[in-house]
Amino acid sequence: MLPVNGVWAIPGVRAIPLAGAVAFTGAWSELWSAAARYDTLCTLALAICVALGCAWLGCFMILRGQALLGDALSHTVLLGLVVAVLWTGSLGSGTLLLAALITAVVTAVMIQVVSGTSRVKEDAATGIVFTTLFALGVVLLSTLAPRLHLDAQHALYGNLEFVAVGEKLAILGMLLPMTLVQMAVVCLVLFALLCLFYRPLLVSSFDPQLARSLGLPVRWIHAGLLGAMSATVVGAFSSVGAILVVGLLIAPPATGFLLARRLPGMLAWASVSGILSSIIGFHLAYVWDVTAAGMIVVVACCLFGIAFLGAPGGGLVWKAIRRGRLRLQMSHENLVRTLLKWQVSTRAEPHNVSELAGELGCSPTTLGMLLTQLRWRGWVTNSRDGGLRLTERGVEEASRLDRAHRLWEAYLVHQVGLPLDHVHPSAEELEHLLDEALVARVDDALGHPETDPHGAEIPRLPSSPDQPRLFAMSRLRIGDSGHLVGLTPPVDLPVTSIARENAGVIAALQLDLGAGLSVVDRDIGEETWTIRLANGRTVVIPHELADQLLVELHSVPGV
Amino acid sequence: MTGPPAAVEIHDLTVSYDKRPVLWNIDLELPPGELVGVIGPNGAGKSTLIKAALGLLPCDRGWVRFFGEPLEKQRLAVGYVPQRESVDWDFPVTVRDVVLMGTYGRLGWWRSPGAAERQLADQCLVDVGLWEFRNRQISNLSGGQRQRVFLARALAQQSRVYFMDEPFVGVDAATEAAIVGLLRQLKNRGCTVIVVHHDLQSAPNYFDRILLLNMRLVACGPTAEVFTPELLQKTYGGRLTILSEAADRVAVIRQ
Amino acid sequence: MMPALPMLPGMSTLGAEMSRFWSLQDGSVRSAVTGMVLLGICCGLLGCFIVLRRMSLVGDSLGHAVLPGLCVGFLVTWTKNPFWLFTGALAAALLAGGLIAIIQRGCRLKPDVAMGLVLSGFFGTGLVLLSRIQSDPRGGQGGLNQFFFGQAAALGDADLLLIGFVTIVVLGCVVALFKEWAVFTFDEGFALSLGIPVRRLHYLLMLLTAMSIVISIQAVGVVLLSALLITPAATALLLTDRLPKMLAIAVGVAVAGGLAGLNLSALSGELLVDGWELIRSPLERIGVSLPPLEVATGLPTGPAVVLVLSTLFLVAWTFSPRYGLLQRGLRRIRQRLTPSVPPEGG
Repeated sequence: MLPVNGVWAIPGVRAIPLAGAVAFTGAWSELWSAAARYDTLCTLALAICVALGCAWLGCFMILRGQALLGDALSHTVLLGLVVAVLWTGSLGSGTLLLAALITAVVTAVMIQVVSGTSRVKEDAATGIVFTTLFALGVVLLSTLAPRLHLDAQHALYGNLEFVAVGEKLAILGMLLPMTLVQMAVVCLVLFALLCLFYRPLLVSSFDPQLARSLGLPVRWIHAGLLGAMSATVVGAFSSVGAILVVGLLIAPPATGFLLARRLPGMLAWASVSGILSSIIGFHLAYVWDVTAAGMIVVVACCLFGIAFLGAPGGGLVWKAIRRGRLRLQMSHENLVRTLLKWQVSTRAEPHNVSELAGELGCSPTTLGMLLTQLRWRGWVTNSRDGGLRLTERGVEEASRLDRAHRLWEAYLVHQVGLPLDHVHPSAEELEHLLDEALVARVDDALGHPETDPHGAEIPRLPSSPDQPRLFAMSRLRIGDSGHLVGLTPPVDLPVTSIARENAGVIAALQLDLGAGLSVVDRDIGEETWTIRLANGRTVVIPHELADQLLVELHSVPGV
Repeated sequence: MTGPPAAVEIHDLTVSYDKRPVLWNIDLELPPGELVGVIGPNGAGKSTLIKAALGLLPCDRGWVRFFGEPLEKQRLAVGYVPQRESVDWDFPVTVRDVVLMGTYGRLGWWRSPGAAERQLADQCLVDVGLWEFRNRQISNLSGGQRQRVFLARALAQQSRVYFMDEPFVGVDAATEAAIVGLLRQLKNRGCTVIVVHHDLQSAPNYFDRILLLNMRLVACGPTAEVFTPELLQKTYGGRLTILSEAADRVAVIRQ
Repeated sequence: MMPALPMLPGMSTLGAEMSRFWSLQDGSVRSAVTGMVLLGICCGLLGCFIVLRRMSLVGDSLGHAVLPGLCVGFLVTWTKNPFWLFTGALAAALLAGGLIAIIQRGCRLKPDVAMGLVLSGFFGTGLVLLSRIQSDPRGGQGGLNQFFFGQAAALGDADLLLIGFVTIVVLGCVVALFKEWAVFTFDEGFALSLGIPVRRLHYLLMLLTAMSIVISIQAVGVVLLSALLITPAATALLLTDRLPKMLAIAVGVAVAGGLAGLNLSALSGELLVDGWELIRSPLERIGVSLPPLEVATGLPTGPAVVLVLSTLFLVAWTFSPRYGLLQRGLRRIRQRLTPSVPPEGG
């Protein structure tokens, strides 16, 4: 052993950073030295097989809400083990498998019977059944088969360290430990079953009623999963032990659950997590001279912790970052809107940062930081006399927000029917959080209103940002004048049936491209626009058609 | 409102459930001594309104007052009959035990229910017609009987304002008639009863005032004025898809 | 008067051993009995609320989660100082409870998954620490067996004081706050509307549960303390319709079962061997061969207590006057035999 041993007199913590690294590389080279390489590989392979089997199984178990059953089974299997040994006198793997299977069935059935026939609910029934069977196992073990004690200890707490010295089997010219061969077979069989029965498993786990109505044999699937669990637990006897198999059944699948949106992804991430836990856990256990089984489960739970904190979209860290970013965005937007309001109103540009801070309700230092950020974003510059001025970009942002706010207010008052003096806070929240498409829908639903419920004008947007005079007819106000330039979408795109109809209407109304026109009247309730053409004729255009017609105004509408 | 304070006054109440806004800016005033029906489609927020008024759900904005005071000062004046599914019926309590629970509000922390409380509970049992069942464990009751147990418990609270969440669901005609009779007795005593009701047919017969709700207050007023085809269409019409979508997005962003 | 039955060889020894046990002359027996009675009261009371709130898994997960706390407590002084062990264990239990709540609130995983995660994570950490302790020359024989199966006879005076303290606190809380806990467990929404601080009562219940779990571990061991919490309460649930009676019955069952289990585990090895022979020899004669008993020190406390409690549960489950299996079967037979009566009105 390396001289680092002396360091471990202190409870491991302090030694982690430097000595840990040294020890790790030392242990690595020991484990992977030419002499030990084969054994290490075999042991790791076994651990990985167990982890994979548990990962796949565990995914379905946590989706079906049966995590508790797995815990119970891992305890009650002791009884099966003891009875099997007493009955047959041998510890052969076939016997073990059968014993585990029978125990699993007995446990599940007993829980169902107790909770189904009395007031005792399922969680209490599970507790009663598994403690009883476990206690019975312990009693039988300590009285009738104490010679088994050592083996039982291993079965419960893990045996990874002794895999390499166990019985060996010669396969394909290699000498492999018996346990590895058995577990590999189990793993392959599980994989095959997973591929074959993927769809029924998926459906019955997510929606048992649908599965039943589709004629899927739900009971057989349940029994099959139970059987697979027994096989895995028996296999786990030689790896992490029955007690800790619960950890491998839950932690990697839970990690997969956080990192994936669909089942294949969840299975994949669970497998990766299981493999990583086995490798890292095994090496760390060797370095620190602790039980490999415990270390593997600890690493698996740590991986879950990392996923919990950092998972994109779902992890705590991600959520906190996103929330912070959102809040910052909202502060920026509130600031530009206030600046615009001040710029538009008769008040001169605010020279006094503390005045502005007072209006916004934040401290001058915070305000200073926000203004710097706004300058960086190009929304604000310093004006000639040392004050602040909104750039064109800034004005655009502010108008966009202003428009969204007023449209939401109009929507909440006119369509939803909320009282006028209450809508401001809701509109405040909505204006920040929602996108252009939704705002456009609101605008359309309201019939493109010109004023908000307070009577202030709602800013309007041109059809495209680089053509500030081009508007859909529905966006025009009374008194606007311009000429017709075309249909939206552009005419060279395939014409929909509506556009075709409208083309007919346009022809029927005898409107020509390039025709001069001016808006005479708007009927908000009926949603029509009354247009006077250059030749003196007036035409009434309905909403749908007005949305389709593109007009170029004679002058850019003022801000 | 001039004169005596309203039994229930709600101002700008906005409530989110699971971060999703479900009630928007509710304003209403209910005078004392009336039977009020809360009507609206599924998911309209009717139960949410009641739970928010009782302080079971937090509000984003707004407040609720009972006789001019906030809930904390008027707990004894407000009674609650929740939905039946909220309870585990296998619980080891008898009918009498459950009704007795209604008296706990007035007892404070350390006192146990005494003779006076027991007498009150017994009287409430008689009032709802469950006296013969008083020692039965609650799982041995029909749907209508279970509803009456909850009602008796609420009566034992001796409140002036009662909130009832869908008390008529799943009860037979006889129980329904009995409950309505009880409500009318409460009204005659000057209590205000606010009932979330699911059946449009019976609503105009039972209630003096109707509250039409669908994510926001559509209308609130005397039955004859409010229970009209236009307003019902507005309530059940369901053209608020944009608002629902907006609420969904807000919920996602608030996560 | 001579007994008609031949005196079976083991019976006199059984009588002798039991009377020796119950004379309470042995100091360790006295401690064990006192401890068991107190634990029975404590766990019987709390178990009722845990079972009624469907939180039965909590006992098992917090129990497993305590192991690393015990190890850290041990590492402070490298002795089994009860104060440090208790503090470490309690800290671990509370940390575990907090983590379970955080996981549940922070993502969409179900509660049983969160509990299983915390259980295995903490337990794995505990096993890691334990293996370090055991490989160090200063570490004792490692308490894993005791952790799992309990050793009531090893309860010292300090342990008993702790158990007594926790039991008094639990008793006090249950008696003083009985009606609040009753409403809160039965109908949380209604309790909230009455102004009862539901959140705080929940935290109080979790705190008391954590404390009871920590003190029970030494006597009955971790896996089996779940049984002490759940089984008496479930038994009581089947025997009565009223909550105060349920609490009383649960305490009675827990204490009786605990004491009987203690007695059972205190029986000497020879007695058990003789008793087993009584069963084995007749069976051997008809061809069923069972292995001989090989026990030196008698049964461990935990499993013995669990088996007694489960037997009591089984009896209640079968024979309960209102909810037992027998009664249900009889009722069904009676229903089929009598002509149908129109159901009662609503």
